[in-house]
This record gives sequence, C-alpha cells and structure tokens, in this order.
Amino acid sequence: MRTGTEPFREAFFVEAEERLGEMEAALLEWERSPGGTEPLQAIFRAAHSIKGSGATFGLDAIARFAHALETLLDRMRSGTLDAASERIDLLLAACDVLQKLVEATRRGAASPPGVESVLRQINGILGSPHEESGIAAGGRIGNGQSAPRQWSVAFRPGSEFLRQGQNPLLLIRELGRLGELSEIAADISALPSLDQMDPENCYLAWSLHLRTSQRAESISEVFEFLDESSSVTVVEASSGATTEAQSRPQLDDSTAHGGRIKYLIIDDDPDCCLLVGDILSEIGRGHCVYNGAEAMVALRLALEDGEPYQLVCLDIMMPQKDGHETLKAIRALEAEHGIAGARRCQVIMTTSLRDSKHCLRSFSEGCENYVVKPVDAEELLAKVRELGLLGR
Amino acid sequence: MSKTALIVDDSTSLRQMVSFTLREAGFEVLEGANGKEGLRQLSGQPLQVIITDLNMPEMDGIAMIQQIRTIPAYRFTPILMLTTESHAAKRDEARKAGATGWIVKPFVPEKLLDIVNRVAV
Repeated sequence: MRTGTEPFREAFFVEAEERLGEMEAALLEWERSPGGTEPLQAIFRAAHSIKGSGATFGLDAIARFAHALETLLDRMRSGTLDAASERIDLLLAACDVLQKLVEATRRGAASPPGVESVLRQINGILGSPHEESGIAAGGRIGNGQSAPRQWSVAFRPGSEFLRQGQNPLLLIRELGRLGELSEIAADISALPSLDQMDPENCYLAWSLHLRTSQRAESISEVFEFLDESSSVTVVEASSGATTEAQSRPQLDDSTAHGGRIKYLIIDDDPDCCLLVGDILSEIGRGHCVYNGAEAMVALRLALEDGEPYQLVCLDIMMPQKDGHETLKAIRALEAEHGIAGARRCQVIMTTSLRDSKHCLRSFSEGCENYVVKPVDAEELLAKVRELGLLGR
Repeated sequence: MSKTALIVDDSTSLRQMVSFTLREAGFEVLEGANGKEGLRQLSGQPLQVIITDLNMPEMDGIAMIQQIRTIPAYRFTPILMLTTESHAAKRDEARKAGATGWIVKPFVPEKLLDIVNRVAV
C-alpha cells in the first residue's frame, strides 16, 4: 500500500519530540507529587497523540509502542489500574525507550534495545498482549469477502440531509463501488405541493438492488453519516432475511373472508379491529394486527408471497411504533421492493385524532385517505370506493 | 474542472499529510492552522470539501463550522471533522453545527479518500 506520507514524516518527528518533551516534564511532575491526576492526563495525551500520528504515518513500531503505553495510562487515570508511584520507573523507562525509538525511526535505524522488554512489562501489567485494534484503520475492500449476494437497499434521508452537506448521488455512487447496482428508483411520494415545499429539505427516498460479495456492514457503512431522522434498510433480496431479527406474527384470521380485496387493519384496540373488519368483510378478506411492528412483518410476508395487501386501515395512536412511523415504514418497504405509484397499497388512516396537523402529516407521509373514529361504515366504504379499489 | 479542498488542523504534519493525499487525488488545497485561519481562506470560491480538526487554539472546529454555514456559498459544502474521540456527544455537537461527517484518527490516506469521495463531488 502506497501511503504517500514520507515527505511529511519530518514534521511528524518534530512534533513527536515536542510531545515526548511534554511527557517527560509531566513524568517529573508526577514523580514530585504522586497522586496528582493532571500530570497523568498530560502523559496520556502525549502518548495518545504520538500513537495517532504514528499510525497515520505508517510508523507501526512507534504506534504499537505508544498504543500499549496509552492503554496503560488510560487504565491508571481511570482508576481501573492502580496508579502506584512504583510505576514511575516503568513510565520513565517507557518514555526513554519511546524517545530512542522515534530517533531510530527518524534515522531509518533498527529498533533500539529495550523496546521489546518494556513492551513485555507493560503487557504483563495489562494482563495479556494488548490487541492493536486501535491502530490499524485499514480500507474496507478486502474485508469479509464471500460469494456475491443480492441485497435490497432502501434509504430515506431525514429532512436535514441536504443542509448537512450530503448528496444522495454520492451515496449511490459509493454503493456502486461495492458491487453491481440495479433497479435504482426514487420515491417521490413524500413530495409536498410546491407552495408547501422547502427547497432545502430532502423529501425523496431511494431504493436499489446491489449485488456484492461485501458484508451487510460494508453496505451499512456507506450510510454512516445519515442522522437519526433517516431510515436505512439493507435486506438480502433472495432470502428476504433482514439485518433486523423478526418473527412471524400470529395473524388473527377471524376476519378472513373470501372477497375481492385484501386488507390489513392495524389498531391496538381489538374492538376497533373487529368493527373495521366487520365493515370491510363485505368487500374483501384480510387480517388484523395490533401494532406497527407486527404490521410490518405481515406486509413483508404478503409481498414476498406475491399477494400484497391492497388496503391498509391504520390507527395513529399506538404504543411504540405509531401510525405515522408505520406509514413511513410501509412506504419504505414498498420502495425496497420496487413498488411505486398505483401499485402501492392504499392506506386509510382510521383514527380518533381529528386535528389538521395529524391529518396533513399523514398525507405528507403518503396516506391516501383519512377517516375519523368512530368509524362509520358508509363513510369508510365510500372512501374505499373513491380509491378505486372496488373497481379493480 | 478543478476541485478545491480546505484543510484546517493545528498539527502541521497532519495538515501536510492530508493536503498531500488530496493533491495526489487531484484537489487544490487551502490550509489553515485554526478556525480563524480557516475562515480567512474563504472568499466565496467554490469548495468541494472542508476537512477540519475539532480541538484547535484561537477558534475551534465547531465554532468555525457554525460560521461557515452562515456563508451562503458554503451552506451545502460537505464538512468532515477529524476526530480522535469516537464520543457520540462531540459528533452530535459538530453535526448540529452543520458538519456532514467525520474521519476518526488515526486514518490511512486510502480511508481518507474513501470518506471524501462519499461526500464530495
């Protein structure tokens, strides 16, 4: 691996010597007044800085030694290791050896004597040869290679995405570096009308397929900078197994009937489920689930079985995953399966929340209609008819 | 089209190393040793990416990011913070100030370019 850092090593050595000078001064201070925490902090900072720059410049011997020393100091300052004054001799020796190691490296000479023995002493105190995971920050490519698999990836950035200086095209381009992309689709369902649009907000979501031999973590890593208001799902397309564990919910089949449309009722109130199920049983067959998480599993299984739900009646006030979140998850799931436009399920919010805020929000999240509880049979059936479901 | 990056870090060796890596990748590079010097480099010229340390004398990285986001030309410019702390709190603070992402030190040049490519056109 070409690091291209050689021309700047000299600056590193100058800085490392300054840090070592600070370390020595702090050590003498600690020797004069053992028990002081500030000198210990200063010694730690110096070791930490040398480790970081050393590793960055590919000076592994320096980074390895500074890392062991840093770990020892970290445990001493945090109190998990006794900061006994007897350790002063070891710390002075370590500082001395590190100085010699830096000098030898600068001249291109071999490791000076003492490095390995001090390292052994430090590792002896630490209990085991300290692993060096803190040092190598190697590239991603080449890790975890296996047979190529097909992944279904969907991401919906939060509204702040563009204001954070992010760019969706670059994320897709980076995914393309991991493997072969196909079926890239943008979901524009959350776009508001022009007069309500803030051009600096992100309203779009994307879905695509990726064939790669990289692990799911490598795919997720691409989305590292998306904030909590964003959602990302990475699902193996062939098996349907997601990175999140999930189980098949117990579907309540009591409302299943032969009929024309397939519906799903999502409501934490069983009485409401029964009532709505009773109304819809005239026009189709379906299931009830009592929370958003179960709903997502039912919807996913139906999609994978090739028999998706056409109509969803969705309550808003539910524990854990409420109606708004569930609605967004439904649209993301569909996007993930490449389902867009009229092929998406029709969602009617069935809720006791009658204020315009929830209503508008639901429409912006992608619902088709909104019915306020108590649900009136004629009203609900009229809305279903408006959606064109009965004519299909 | 030429690409320009701004790198702000009080460690000369780190700054030179990042600059070198970016120049090799075809960037023109502006440098500053602290937040104030970083801001002084900005004159409304197009920038593809800004990379900044957080702990710096004079003006730290977070204060600089806040200032940069008030300049219209740089409202959407990707800003990456260089950090040794993997502390979520510090990252959140920088994110709130307008940072796009982060690079955890130590890093190798290839890793730096991977991350720059993720955010910069």
